[in-house]
Amino acid sequence: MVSGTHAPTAPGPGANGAPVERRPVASSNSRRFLGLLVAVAVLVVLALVSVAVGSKNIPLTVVLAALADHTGQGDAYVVWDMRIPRTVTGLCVGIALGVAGALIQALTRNPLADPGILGVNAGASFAVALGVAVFGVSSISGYVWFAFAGALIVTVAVYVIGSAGRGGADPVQLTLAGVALGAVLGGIVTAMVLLDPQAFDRMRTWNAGSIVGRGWDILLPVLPFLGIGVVLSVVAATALNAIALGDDLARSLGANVTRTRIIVIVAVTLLAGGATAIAGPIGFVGLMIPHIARWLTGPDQRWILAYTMVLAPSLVLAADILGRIVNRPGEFPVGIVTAIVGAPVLIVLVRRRRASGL
Amino acid sequence: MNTSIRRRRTATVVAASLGATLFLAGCGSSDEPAGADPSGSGSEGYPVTVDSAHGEVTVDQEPERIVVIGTDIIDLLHSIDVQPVAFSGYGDPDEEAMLAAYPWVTGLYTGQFDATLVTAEYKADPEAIALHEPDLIIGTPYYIEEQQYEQLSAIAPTYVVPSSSAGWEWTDTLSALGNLTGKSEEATQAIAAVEDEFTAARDRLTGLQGSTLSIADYWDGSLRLMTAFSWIQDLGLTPAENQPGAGSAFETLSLENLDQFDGDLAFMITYSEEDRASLEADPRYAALPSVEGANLFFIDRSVIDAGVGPGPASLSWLLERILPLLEASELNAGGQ
Repeated sequence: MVSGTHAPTAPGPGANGAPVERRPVASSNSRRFLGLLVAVAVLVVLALVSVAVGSKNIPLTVVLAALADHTGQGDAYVVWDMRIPRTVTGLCVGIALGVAGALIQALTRNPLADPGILGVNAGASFAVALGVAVFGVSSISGYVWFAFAGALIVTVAVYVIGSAGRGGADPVQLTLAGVALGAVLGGIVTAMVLLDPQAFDRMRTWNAGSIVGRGWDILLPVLPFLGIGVVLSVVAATALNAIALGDDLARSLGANVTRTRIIVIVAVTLLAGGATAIAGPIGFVGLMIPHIARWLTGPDQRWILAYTMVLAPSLVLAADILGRIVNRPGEFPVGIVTAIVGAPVLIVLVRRRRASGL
Repeated sequence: MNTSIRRRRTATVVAASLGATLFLAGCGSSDEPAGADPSGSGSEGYPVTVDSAHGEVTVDQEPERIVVIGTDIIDLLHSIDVQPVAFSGYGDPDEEAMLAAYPWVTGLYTGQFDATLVTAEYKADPEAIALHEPDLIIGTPYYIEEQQYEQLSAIAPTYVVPSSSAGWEWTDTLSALGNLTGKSEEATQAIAAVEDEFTAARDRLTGLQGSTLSIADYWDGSLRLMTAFSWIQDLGLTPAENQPGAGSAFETLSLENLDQFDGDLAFMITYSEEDRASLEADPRYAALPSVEGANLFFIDRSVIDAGVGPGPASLSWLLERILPLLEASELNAGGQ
C-alpha cells in the first residue's frame, strides 16, 4: 500500500518529450564544498555586522575598542551585553529553525511543510497564553519553559493522533493532525486574548518573533536541547535520503522508517520548540531555507542539512540587522522582517518552473 | 398526484401569508422616542447652536437627559455641575474596569454607567442610547462617525467633540459644553480655576522652570517616549526634544539608545518589578542625567492616562501625584 504522496523526481519532460536533467547549482562535491565555505564566510561577515551595527549608531572604531576592552559602561555595554548575546541567539535560533524545516520537509515529503506543521508554534503559544492567564507570567524568561513544554506536549499529542490506525505515523496523517490541533489551539488562544486584551498585551510582541533582550540567561538553558536536536538531525540525514523515495522503497533499501520518523520528530520538537521558546514564533526561515539549499546542492539530504545550517542563521541575522536599522531609534522584531522578506521569496520559489523536487 | 399538488399549494399559501405578516409587522412604524416635551417658551439663551465635528448642532432648550460617551466628558460636565443620566467609558466592560482605568472619575457622577452604549467595534450604539430617552448626546469622533451621527441625530441633538491633529483642547470643549447646557459662566470659572491651580503649582516649582522633562515607559525591551502633554508646559517645564508632539501616542526608543533618554527630569513607568530591576541594573541607567541628579521618578501609568483626556478633575488628580515628586526633587531645591 502506497503511503503518502509520490515525490516528484528530479528529471521532468522537456519540449521534445525527453527528460530534462535539472542540475543543482553546485553539481559536484567539490563545488558543494566550495559553496559551503562561501556560505560560512557570508555568515561570519553577517555575525560581525550584527555586532557592529544596531539601533544605536556606534562608530566602528568605538566598536573595535569595546571588543578589545570590556569596560562594562556605555557603548561597551551595548556591544558586549546586548549585541553579542543577541547575535549568538540569532545564530542558534536560525540553525534550529532551518534544520527543523529541512527535517520536516524531508520526512513528510511536503515542500510546503514548516516546523510549525507539527503544532510546535501552536503548542508554544497556547502554553504561553496559559502561563499569562493562569500564572501571571510576564517576562520572557518566564515564557521560555512554558513555550518549550507546550511545544513538546503538543508534538507528542500530534504524533499520537497522527499514528492512530494502521500504518503508524503516516506523514499525511501527521500533517493533518498537526494542522487540526494547531487550528484548535490557535482558536483557544485567540479567544483568551480577546477576553482580556490587557493581560495579553505582552504576548503580542512575543508572538511576532523577536530576539530583542534575549541574553545568556535565556539562551544557555535551552542550548543543550538545540544541540541534541542538531546531533539527531545528522544521525537521521542518510536515512532521510531513502525516505525521500517513498516509505516502501525506503524499507526495501534497508532504512528503518519508524525509527527515523521518531528521531526526526524528536529532533524537530527540540529544535523548533527550543527556538520558539527563545524567540517566539518566527516564520518562513524553516520553510524557505531548505528550498534554497536544495536548489544549490541537489536532493542529497546531507548536503541540504549542511547548507541549511549555514544559510538559515544568515537569514535570521540579516533580518535582525535590517530590523535594527530601518526603524531607528526603535527596532522591528525579526519575525516581522522575515515575513516581509520571506513572502516574495516564497512566491518566486513557487512560481519557478523547474522547482527542484524532494 | 392530486394530494401532493394540493399539499404543495397549501404550503405555498401558508408560507406566503406568514411572509406577508412578518413583512407588515416589520414595516409597522414605531413611535419616535419623544424628545423633551416642550414646556413653556424657550429658557434664557436657548435655542443655542454650536459647531461640532459633523456640522452644527442646535439645542432648543436646556437639556435634562444627557447621554455621554467618554469619561473625560464626565469630568468636564462635573466641573460645570451638569450630570448626565447615563454614560459609558471607551469600551470598558464594566464600571469597575472603567474606574480602574480612570480613577479620577470616582464620585464625579450620579448617572448610570452603561457599558452597552458602546459596541464591540468601539462605536456608539444608537439603540442602547435611545433606551435612555436623551435630549442631548455627547461623544468623540472615533466613537460617533458619520453613520452613527446620522442615526443619533434622529434621536436627539448630538454634539461630537471637534478633533484636531493636535489632540483635544479641553478648554474649547468645556466652553462649548457650557453653551449647550446653559452653563457658560460656570465653564469660564472652571477653566479659570484650573489656570489658578497651575499658577500655584509653578510657584512651588521655581527651581524647575525651563528644565527638560523626559517621560517614557519600559515595555518589551524598549522605551516608549510619551507625548509632550500640555500640562508639561503649563508647569513651566520643557518636554525633552525626542518626546513626540501632541497627536501621536508615543515613539519607541530601542534599549540600545537608552542614553537618548536625557531630560534633566524624568518620569519612568514600569509594569513589573522585574522590569524595573532590569532597567536599574543596566550600567547606562546610572549615567542618565536625570538619574545622576536623583531627578528620575517612577510613576504609575494612570498619571499618563490622566493627561491624555484632560479635564479639571483629571488634571487636579495628576498634579496631586506629580507635584510632590517634582517639588522635592534635587533640581527644584537648586541643587543642580
